[in-house]
Amino acid sequence: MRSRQARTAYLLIAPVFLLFLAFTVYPLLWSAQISLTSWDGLNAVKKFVGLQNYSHLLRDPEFLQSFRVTVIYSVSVTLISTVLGFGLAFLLQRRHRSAAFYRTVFFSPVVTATVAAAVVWQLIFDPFAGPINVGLRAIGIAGPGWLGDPHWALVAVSIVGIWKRIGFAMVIFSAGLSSLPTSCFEAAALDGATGWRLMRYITIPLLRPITALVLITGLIDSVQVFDHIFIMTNGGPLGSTNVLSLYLYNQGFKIFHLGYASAVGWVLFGIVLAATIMQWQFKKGTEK
Amino acid sequence: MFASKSRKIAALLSLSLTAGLLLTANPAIAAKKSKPVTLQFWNYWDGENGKALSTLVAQFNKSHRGIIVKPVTFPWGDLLPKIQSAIAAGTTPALAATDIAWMANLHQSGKLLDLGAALGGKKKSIKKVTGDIYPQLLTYSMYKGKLQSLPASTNNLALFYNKDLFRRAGLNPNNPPQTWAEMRADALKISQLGGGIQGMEIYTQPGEGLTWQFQPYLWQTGAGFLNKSNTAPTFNSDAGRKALQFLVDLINVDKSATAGQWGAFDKGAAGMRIDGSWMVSGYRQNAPFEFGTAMLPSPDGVSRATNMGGEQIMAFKGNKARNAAAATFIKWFTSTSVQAKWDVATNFMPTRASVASSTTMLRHLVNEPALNAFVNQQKYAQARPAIAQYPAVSDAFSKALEPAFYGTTSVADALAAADAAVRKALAGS
Repeated sequence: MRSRQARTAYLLIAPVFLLFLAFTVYPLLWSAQISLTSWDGLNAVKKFVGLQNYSHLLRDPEFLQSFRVTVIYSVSVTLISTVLGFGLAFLLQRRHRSAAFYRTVFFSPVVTATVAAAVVWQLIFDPFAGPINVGLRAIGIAGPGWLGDPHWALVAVSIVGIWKRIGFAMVIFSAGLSSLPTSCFEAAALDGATGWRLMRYITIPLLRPITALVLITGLIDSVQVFDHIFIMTNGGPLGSTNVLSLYLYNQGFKIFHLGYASAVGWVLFGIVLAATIMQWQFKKGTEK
Repeated sequence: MFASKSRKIAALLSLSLTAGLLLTANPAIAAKKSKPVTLQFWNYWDGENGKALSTLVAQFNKSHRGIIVKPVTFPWGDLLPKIQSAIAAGTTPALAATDIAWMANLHQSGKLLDLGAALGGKKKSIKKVTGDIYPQLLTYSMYKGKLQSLPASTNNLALFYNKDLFRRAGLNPNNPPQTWAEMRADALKISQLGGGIQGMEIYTQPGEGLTWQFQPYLWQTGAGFLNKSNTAPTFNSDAGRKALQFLVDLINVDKSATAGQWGAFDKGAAGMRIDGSWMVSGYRQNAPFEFGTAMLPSPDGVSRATNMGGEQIMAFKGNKARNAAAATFIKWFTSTSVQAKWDVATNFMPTRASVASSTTMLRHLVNEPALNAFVNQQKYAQARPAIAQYPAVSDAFSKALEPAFYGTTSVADALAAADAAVRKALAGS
């Protein structure tokens, strides 16, 4: 009976498992193989170069800059969106009739098509006709070139990244806040704790697992950022927004260094894997 | 009972899904070969160009029984990755038209059909096929003595200018600049209109866009890009520095141009821009201003040069019937009469002398005078190096130049860095 059940179970997962093998495992292994070659993605010959691509990575100033940009982007987007998401969740936790409406409004960027949103943001940041600079010009300030300015481009694309992520953090924190045991708050209130003290000593510590979840998924998500930056700046100016996935794309598909791009891909994979392991460890730690 | 029944149904469903997946992985089992040869034709011609292609293809399908050509359009940036994965997966389309800049790499794939052989073999027939196609364009078509693609279209870069802004700045809208000095003076006057308006819009974002826009300046000063054998850069010279300094001064000395995003001219926020003939119909329909075109200004008004762009059409090797059908389509599409219709509909430039002198084309030029600058310039159009390392060379070159536009590196240092980076890219590391 048990083995029959097992057979049925295997049969049931077979379609998904086949797709997983064909579209995830196989390309993954194939890219590992390509990362050891100097293949251009077209040539009939795939020249084996060993670990040369990986050792070149460490000496490539463009890769190192790209790595730095990715770290700055991911850390700032994750932290700021988490703090803001928590703030919104906290403000909207009281059962106002309008709370559901605002929650929907703040969540809508999460489900908005990124490419469409990126195009709109591009218009907003337009140095000539965009509302930001038009507004600044009206009060006598010459606004920056935003997406064309190496000092402001990363700020601009990070703003979009944060805008896109706040809603997700807010929803998770909202769920977390509503599931907190009221007994702790009642006990603390009896001891005379109010306002900030409740927040500092009760709410925030109780939300630790939720915060970790939001931070780590945020990190995994933003390390892989591609679409809106591709649309808005394509990595420029002066490489100031050239995140790793964009660097990978340009190496592989613009200048035909597919072997090298595969090596970049594995580094990216390493970062995401490390973040995931961190999450597991943390989860294990809090479950004890 | 019910539970076991539903489990059986689920298992059956799952089994059929799995079988379906396995079957679709092998198209030979999934669908039996049907008689008319269907040719997928991958390209990136969208908008008006896409419509023009559909019209022509419909005519072909009607006049050629047994062959059905189906155009499939991708965004420009997606086409090459699609071809790369199709080559890897062995699912290449029968036909494709791609940017000439990618041709050297595509030739090396070993998957392109030898058109000389497919259209009759022997050298004589190659000449018969190519006929009066401009020889510069054929540099992208040949690989190891074999004809593996044909020019499907060509274009070049000329000066677009905003007549409304010329008027507002007190300039004669019918007298566009001929020399660099005139262009600089006009740009300065227009930028002095204020309100964020640029005199001249310069492409400063790294990538082939920057390289291809800047190369005409290098050719005009005589600096060139690579040497004749395409083995070393030639731009790191006094002439090269003069070319780059000219543009950098517009940005950093005159402040009549800005480094950064591209697109100001389209909105009427820049007086001039260099761009291709494919922009003409779009501006005619949508530009919120009156525009004009002129040949690219040169240092002295005499030493003309522009960059040659365009697409090549090719067939990927398939079975005998597919190869023959693909070759038939390519021959038809590149013929004088079809090319004349194609150029009129798209505002691309003629690839053959016979197209340029055809009545269809001549009549079109009367209707769209903005094309004259491009047609008159075609003879000065230079080809970018048709080598496999070119995409990497262009990328390295543009990235080294970008800081000069932002004033963070001197012109001399930027070109020296570009020289080193290009040598490295040529060596393939």
